[in-house]
Amino acid sequence: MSERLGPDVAATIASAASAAVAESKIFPESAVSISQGKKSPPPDTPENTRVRSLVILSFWVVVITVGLPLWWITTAIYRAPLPLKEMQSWADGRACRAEFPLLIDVEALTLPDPEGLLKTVQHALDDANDFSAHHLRLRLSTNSSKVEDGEESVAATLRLSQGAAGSPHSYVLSPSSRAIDLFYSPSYNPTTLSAFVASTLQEIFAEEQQMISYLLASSAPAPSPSPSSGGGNGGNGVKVVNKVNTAEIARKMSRIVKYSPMYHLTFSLFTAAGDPSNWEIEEAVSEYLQPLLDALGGISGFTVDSQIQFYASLSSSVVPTWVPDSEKEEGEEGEEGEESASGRYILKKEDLSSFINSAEWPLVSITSYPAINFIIYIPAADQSPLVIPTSSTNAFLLPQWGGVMIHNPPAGSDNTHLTKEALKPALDIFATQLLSLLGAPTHPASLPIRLDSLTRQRSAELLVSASSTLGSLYRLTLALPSISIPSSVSTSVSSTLSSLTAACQELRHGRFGGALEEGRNAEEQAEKAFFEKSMVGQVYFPEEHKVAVYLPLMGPVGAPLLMAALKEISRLVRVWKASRLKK
Amino acid sequence: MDRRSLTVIIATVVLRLVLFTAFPSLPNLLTNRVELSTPVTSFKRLQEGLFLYTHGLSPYDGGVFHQAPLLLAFFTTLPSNPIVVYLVYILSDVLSAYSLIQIAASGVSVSTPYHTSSRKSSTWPPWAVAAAFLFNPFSIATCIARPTIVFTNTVILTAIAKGVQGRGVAAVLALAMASYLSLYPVLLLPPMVLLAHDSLPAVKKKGRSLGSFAAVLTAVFTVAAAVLGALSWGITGGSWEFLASTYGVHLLLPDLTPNVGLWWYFFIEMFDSFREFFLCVFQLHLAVYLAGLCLRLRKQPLFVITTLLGISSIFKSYPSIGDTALYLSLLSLYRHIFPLMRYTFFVTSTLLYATLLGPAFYHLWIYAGSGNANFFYAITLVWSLAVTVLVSDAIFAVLRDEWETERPEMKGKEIVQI
Repeated sequence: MSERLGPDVAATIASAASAAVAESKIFPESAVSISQGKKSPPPDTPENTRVRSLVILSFWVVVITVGLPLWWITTAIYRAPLPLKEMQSWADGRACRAEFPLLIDVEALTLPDPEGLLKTVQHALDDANDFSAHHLRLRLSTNSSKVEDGEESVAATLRLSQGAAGSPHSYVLSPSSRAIDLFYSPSYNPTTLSAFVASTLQEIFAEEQQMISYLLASSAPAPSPSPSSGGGNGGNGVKVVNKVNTAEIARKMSRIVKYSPMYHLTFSLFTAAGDPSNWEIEEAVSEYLQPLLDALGGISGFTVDSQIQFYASLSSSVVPTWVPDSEKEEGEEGEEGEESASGRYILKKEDLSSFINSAEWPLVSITSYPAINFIIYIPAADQSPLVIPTSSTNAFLLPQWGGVMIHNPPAGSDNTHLTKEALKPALDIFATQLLSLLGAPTHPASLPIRLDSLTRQRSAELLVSASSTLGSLYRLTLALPSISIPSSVSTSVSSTLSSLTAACQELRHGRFGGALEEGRNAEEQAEKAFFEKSMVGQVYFPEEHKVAVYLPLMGPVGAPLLMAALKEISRLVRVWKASRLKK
Repeated sequence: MDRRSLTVIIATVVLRLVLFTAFPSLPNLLTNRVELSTPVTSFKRLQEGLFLYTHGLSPYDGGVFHQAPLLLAFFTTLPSNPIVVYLVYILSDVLSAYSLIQIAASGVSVSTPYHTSSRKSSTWPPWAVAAAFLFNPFSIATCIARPTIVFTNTVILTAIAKGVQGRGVAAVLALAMASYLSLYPVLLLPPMVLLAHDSLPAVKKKGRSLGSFAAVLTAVFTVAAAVLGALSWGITGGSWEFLASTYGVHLLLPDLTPNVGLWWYFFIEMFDSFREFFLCVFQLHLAVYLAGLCLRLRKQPLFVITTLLGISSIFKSYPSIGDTALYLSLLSLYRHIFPLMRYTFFVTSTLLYATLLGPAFYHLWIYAGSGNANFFYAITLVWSLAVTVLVSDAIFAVLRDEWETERPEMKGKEIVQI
């Protein structure tokens, strides 16, 4: 210990001496300040000043060399690059000019000059067509046995054959195939025949054309009053739609359930009393509806369940009115009970909108995809028969929701059991309602042609909807520069874009199944990108909140640091000025 | 070691044994207290890790255990008798006390090569310093609750004891062990180097500049830490998982169990997007004092270490009462500056207030359900405020003491800010 203390003491003495020296040097100054009557602090030793500068510097070095880069790195907003230009052009409908070329095979084995006829018909069709995106293309079938084409799906096959002598031109559509049988009168005139063929084809595809042009037109943001020379489909579409009944199409469109690759069908039996207690719904569905569901399989899949609800009351606002029969024959269901005063209960149009007792009827879907409800309602005996006077089938459709049918069981029969056969009319109605809920055109009698139309419509719808989602995402990212864009969004967007491009190509080549597939993928990816979780959370974080985040912590820490730095700088400036004055 | 020190040690060993054995439910009660056991030190979690480890599973699999693997190796060699565990913890406290006695006996707290306090005579003798540590209720409670912070404290005190003896390599090895156990002692490396260098005998000091001395010790520290890491790697079956599960937890705060610190509540409330930034700010805040203190208190490196331990007992990610107990016991080496402190009454009463109300508010929040998290957080704020005032008041007193040594004529005069 003692030998260590030696130098210590020496050092202490030395430092004391140096301090004394420093003090003696500056003594005159302090004397001056006292004589001026102002009290100034005793001057620091140079050693103290140096240490203080170093201490302040040490804090600032850490703040600047470590703190600032960390702040920069940890609060940087990662914005994955998005192909903004492409997204915008899709949203504006500029990227893809959707085309729906329908190929129609013509079989004219008995006609002497089929090529000539085809040419005139094609001319007539092209002249009459305003909506260039959707056009019919005729092709002379070389081999009658080869109807299906692997490359391109054939929209319909036109079979020309000679009809009975003396009869006018006529055509027949087969309900289960794409064939159109056209019978021309033997004493035909080529001009009238070609006009008849053209008008037939137009008639068959008119509804689809209107729907598609309506869909595509609604996507175009600013419809120009006059069709531009470039022939943008938006302008053209508007014109076509204007010509036909826009309101009618809009009404039809408003019914359609939003597209989904899967739907859930719920068949519910609501009975106002305790019976019937069972129904053969499973057998009925598999027999009457399954073929249709299978046919729709290429567009959407379906899951099915059923339920029975006993003592299901109508909501209190629905009060059927009693209408006595003036004539015996009027009863539609044909059941004349033992009641002395025969008549029926009718539901007014206003009642239908509140017919579904959503407070009490268990109609909540548990699936993640949209549900379509079909309801059979059996009224109580004291309210039977219940009739909707405006409907011949005693059924009605609820837009985007499902269908309802009121079933009045024949009086006196066994009411406890609903057989498959008794359900057939209901299921036939439901099948029609399902088709119109999905958006299939009502017009041509042939189911395959209607389903093809549905495929094309849905492709157009998906294309439009995915494009508009991209547009929303585009506007969102521009409007909120502070939200982060994770790389998953970028991946989804590029996947959407490639699917959209592929869908557009498929449409152009007339491969509508492939187009639907791509469109489905595009829609799914676009939704995924738009509803990305980490992005949505940041949407509601205004810039002002940052003040609230930084200030409470950085204020107390920053203020002393800043003050010390300012004092130190002002001291340095003073020293520098003093040294300049000396010179 | 004189007779009085021995008496103190024996008395406290008996006291701890009595507490362990006469109140069998006490150890478990205290183990569950959040003030004493944190996610990174809890004895309960250590047992969970041990169970997994002895059954051949990775101890970090459950996400519960966040302590160093060597502790597992150490505890698996112990017989499973609880008395043995109690004795290990008591022995650890005794070793801490022994280190404190060595530190106090060296007199480094009052006289260093660059500074000798004018109040030299009023320090406590070594046995009193040991008693201040051993009879401190915080130390006793920490010992009974058996968190692994006890071992960290022992190793830190050992490192300081070696440092004041000028045995730099031994000090740095112990410090590497402490850093290995609970990360934050790594901040003590620079003042430890200064302390060891200042305490070198004059003969040895001659040929060795501070720079080369520091370089050698830093290299030793790095090698020791690497060896400890490699050992842990071997113990956990050749996996680096323990790094993320121990130091990662200290740094990233995934476990928001309440404790006496300031982090848990703050990071519960923090917006997710700012979490990383404020983690960096909080960690940096601990490190930012290091250079400033080393520069300003260059004459008294032991006090730099004391102050840094005080600061980290407030601001580290998972502080507990055991950290404060270590700071208080080191502060007892500075008995001579107590008369210069201005807020002793305030600090003492606030610490008592927080000590009594903390458990009450925690009970109200967790068990009675009549309070909420703000109750407990408010009391931890009061606790942290008290320790902060104590730390800054002690710095003030030490600086004043230095100043009075420079200017003996100012002794006892009021200071006025102009």
